Formats: sequence, structure tokens, C-alpha cells
Amino acid sequence: MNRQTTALFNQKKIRRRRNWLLLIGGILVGAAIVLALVGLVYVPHNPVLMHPPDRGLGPTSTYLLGTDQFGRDILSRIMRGASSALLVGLIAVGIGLSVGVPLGTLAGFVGQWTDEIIMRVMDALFAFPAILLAIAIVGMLGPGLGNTMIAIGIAYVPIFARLARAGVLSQKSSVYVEAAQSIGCSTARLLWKHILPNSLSPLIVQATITFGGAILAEAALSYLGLGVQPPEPSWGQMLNDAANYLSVAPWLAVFPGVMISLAVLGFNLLGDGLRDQLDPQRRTRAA
Amino acid sequence: MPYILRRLVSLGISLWLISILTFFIIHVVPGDPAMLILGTEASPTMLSQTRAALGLDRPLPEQYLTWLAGALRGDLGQSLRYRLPVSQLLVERLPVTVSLATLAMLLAIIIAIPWGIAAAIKEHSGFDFATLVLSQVGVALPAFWIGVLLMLFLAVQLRLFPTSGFVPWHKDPLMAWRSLTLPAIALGLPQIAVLVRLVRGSMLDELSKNHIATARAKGLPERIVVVRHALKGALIPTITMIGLQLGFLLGGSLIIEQVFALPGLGQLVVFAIYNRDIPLVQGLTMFIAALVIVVNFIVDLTYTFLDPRLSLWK
Repeated sequence: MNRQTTALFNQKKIRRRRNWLLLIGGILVGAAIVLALVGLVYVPHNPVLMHPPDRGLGPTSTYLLGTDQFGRDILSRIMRGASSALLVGLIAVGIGLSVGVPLGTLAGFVGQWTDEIIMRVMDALFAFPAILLAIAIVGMLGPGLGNTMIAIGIAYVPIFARLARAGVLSQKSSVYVEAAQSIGCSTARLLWKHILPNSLSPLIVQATITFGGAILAEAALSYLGLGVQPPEPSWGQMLNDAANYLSVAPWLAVFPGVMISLAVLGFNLLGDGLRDQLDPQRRTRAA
Repeated sequence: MPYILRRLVSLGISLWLISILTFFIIHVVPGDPAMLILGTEASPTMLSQTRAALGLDRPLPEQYLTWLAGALRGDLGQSLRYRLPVSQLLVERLPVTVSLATLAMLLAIIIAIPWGIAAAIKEHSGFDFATLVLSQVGVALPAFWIGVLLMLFLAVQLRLFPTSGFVPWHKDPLMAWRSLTLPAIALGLPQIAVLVRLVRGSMLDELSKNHIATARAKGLPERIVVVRHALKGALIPTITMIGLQLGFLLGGSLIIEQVFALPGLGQLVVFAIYNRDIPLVQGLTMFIAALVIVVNFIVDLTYTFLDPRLSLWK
């Protein structure tokens, strides 16, 4: 095999793996979305109603994943928990994008002092471990689903601001931008119609991966009792409950953790798959 | 301006911005510390007296400057619940968190670097594929869930480790070691996954460079080529990542400390949040963010040892 064919063969090989990432990620994310949507309209049992006679049961035909210390159906609680997890991901990423992208775009496009000030603040915000920032914000705002979304969203602002700025900087000096400017295109139109669409791919990829991160953060906050409040179920809170019953009902600790991991894995794979799909020049080697 | 001076100025600015952000985050949020101390039954006069005693009746910029001046002297104020200086609580709790984070990071480094190198050398093999799959799965696992599972199997069922609590190093080093082992594994596993991917990627990049081809053409043994030539270049991104991961480690330890009931900074933060102990939340948040920035500053300086083109004084 000569060098060229080897290179071509390797590229084909890489291509094939890329599609796998997208496919598996897509299936996992799709399954999580279906579970969350179904959980909103139908659950096998009431997820918050306590039923003491059935407490601490292992998986049975009535309760497919068993019951918790109050006799509540684990499957139903996991389904309802999926809705909160995905909702937190959606809103938190939405906040991160809608605050971070305009800030980063402004910094990158205007440059000079505006850039310095915005980006130094973003860097400082980035120095706070995301989960610490989220804990501090939610602690001050008060626990609950809504405040969890806001807190995680704020923690993600600097990530999107940095990416948007990098995108604008790389596009700003392109010939097509100069061309648009020379025919009198307004700044707003230039940013919205030309620069932003061309720097969108890294943002889409990051948003997907951050979605998984938000699910992890929500689970952590709920584990600490700061996220979704009982009796509404959430995966993190279910794990916290399970930790108290490890010796008598170990299965309680298994299912919520598996769900968190699968959902996060799904979004990470989807993000990696999308990255390869949207930017074929990038080698998948550098992870 | 020499590199080290530039970095020092930027470190100073970052620390100052962190102090503003910390103060801002805590103070824009509604809540009255005076009512927290006295309870909801307190009379308005008592409330205003307490506010005055805590300095809360003064304008925000003045409050900030007073706090900053104290912080610069190492005085982060007084905890409302413990009635002790925040800095004293911090010093008491810090060793647990630092030991936990250091052990987790060491574990990750010891396992991830050789693993990543091996995967890069055997690119496209079954081992390499398994590495990629495992690292993807590892990144997705929540550290606190790993903690709960480890506790279930190794502490509750096999009784090899204590389920919770901590004995200080100076009292019983062996017991301290045992109580930190499971938390460090839980915290370290996701870090292993992140680092393995990075080391593998950077090694592959390095191995495809010209200087490696030259080294091989000179007839150097493969072991020397990999360890002395490729690894040195691959270490720069790895060390950067280790620095960046410190934030995640400290964040992760906040949760892991809850899982294993370890008396570290994480437990203190959660306690402070639950009790709305504002000076404590403020001091801890500021301290942890400053720690992350200072460690990353040190990481930046280590590049000068790895890359001969960089110098501290140029």
C-alpha cells in the first residue's frame, strides 16, 4: 500500500469511528429525552406517593427497579428525575449561551479595553470551580430547581464567552467580512448574519458537552440537598437517600448513578461526534 | 517586561477581580445576616444594632474595602455560627482537603501517564480502543456515585476501609491513609479518564513530529525516543491540564467530603451555605478561587523548565 492510499485508508477509518460516536451519543441522548418526555405524561406508579407496606423491595414484576425506603417506585422516580435533569441542562446551557455569546462576541469584535475588561472578568469567574460557584449562588438564592438552573448557567457563562470571542477573532479579519463591510453592511448585521453563523460549530459542540456537565452539576447539587427539593425526585437526591440504606438496599444506589452516567456519556459522545462531523479537518487524535 | 513579572501582574489583577466577584455574588443576593444571628423574633432596634456591629449598615464599597484590607492581612472576618475567625477554620480544615485532592491527583498521574503513553504507542490496537472507550465512560461517571459504590463494596460489605470520618495524620497516619483511600479513588477515577485521553493525544502529536523521526533515524532505541524525546513535549499540555483540573478536583472534593463525612473545606462550605454564614461562605469561596489561580500561576512557571525556548526572565 503506498503512502497516499494508507493516508486515505486512515481517514476512512477515522471517519467511520466518528459516525459511531454520533450514533451512540445520539441514541443515548434520544433515549434520555424519550424517558423524560414519557415521564412527564406517564409513570407506572406515583413517584412521590409513599407506600410503606412496599418499602425497600428489590426489583419485582410490579416494581421493575424496586422501591425505596418509603415504598416509592424507583423506575417512576427515575423517569421523573430525567425530566428535571434534562430541564436543568437545557435552561443552564441556554443561560450560559445567551449571556456568554453576546459578551464574548462584543469582546472579540470591539477589542481593546472592552475586550480586556470583559475577558478579565470572565477569567476571574472561570477561576471558581463551577460547582463551588453554583453552590455559592444557589446557597444565596435558596435551594430549588429554578435557582439550580440559574446557578449552573452563570457558572457556564465564561466558557461560552471565551469560545464566542475566539470565533469572532478568527473570522474578523477574513476576506468575506472585509467584503461585507466594504459594501456598507451594518455592524449588527455583520455579526448576526456573517460572523456568528461561521463561528457556530464550536459553540454547538461545547453546548452539547456542557449539557452533560450541567446534568452532573444538578445531580451534585441535589445530592447536597440544594437542587431539586423533596418530594420531587431527582437522580442526585436519590443517590443521597441511597447512601443511608447501603447495607439493606444496595440497588437504590445503582440505578440513579447508571442513569446519570449514561445521560452524561450520551451528551459527551454526541458532542465529540458533532465536533468531527462539523469540522472534518480536525484530527480526532488530540482528545 | 520579563515573563515572571508579566505573570505576577496578571496574577495580582486576577486575585483582585476574584475578590470583587466573591463580594458581589454574596452581597447582591437577598438575606439579612443580622436576622440570621438573632432569629426572626428580634426587635428592629436589636437588628439595626447588630447590623451596625457587623458593619452591614455602611455603603457596599466601604464594606468591600474593609473586607479586602482584612483579607490582605489574612483576616477573613468572623464566622457567624462558629464565632471563630474564618481563617482559623480554614487552616483547621485545609489539610483534609489538600490531602484528598493531592492523593487523587497523584493517583491519576501515576496511572494515566503510563497508560496514555502505552495507548499512543499501540495506536489502533484493541488496547487503544479499550482505552478510548474506558476514558469516555470514566469522564461520565459522577465522582460521588463512585464514592457511594466504593463505600458499598469495600467498606460496608468487605469492611476493608472505614465508611466515613477522618483521623488526622499526626494522630494515626495509617488510619488517616485508610480513611482517605476510598475518597481519593472516587475523586481520582474521572481525572484518570481525562488525563489518559490527553496524554494519548499529545503523545500521538509528538510522535508524528520531525524531531522524533530524526531521533529514530539516529538509531536511538525506541524507549529513549518515547521517554526522553516525545514525552517531554507531551508533558506541557498534560501539566497545563493538571493545573486546570485542580479546580475540578477542589469542586469534586466538596461533594466527596459530604459522601465520606470528611471534615474538610467542602464540608465547611456546605455547612456555611446551609446556615447562611456569609463571612464564612465569602472567605471560603475567595480562598478556593485564589488557590486555583495561584496553582495555575505556578503551573505556568513550570513551562520554563520544560520548554527551553521560554525563560522566567525574558
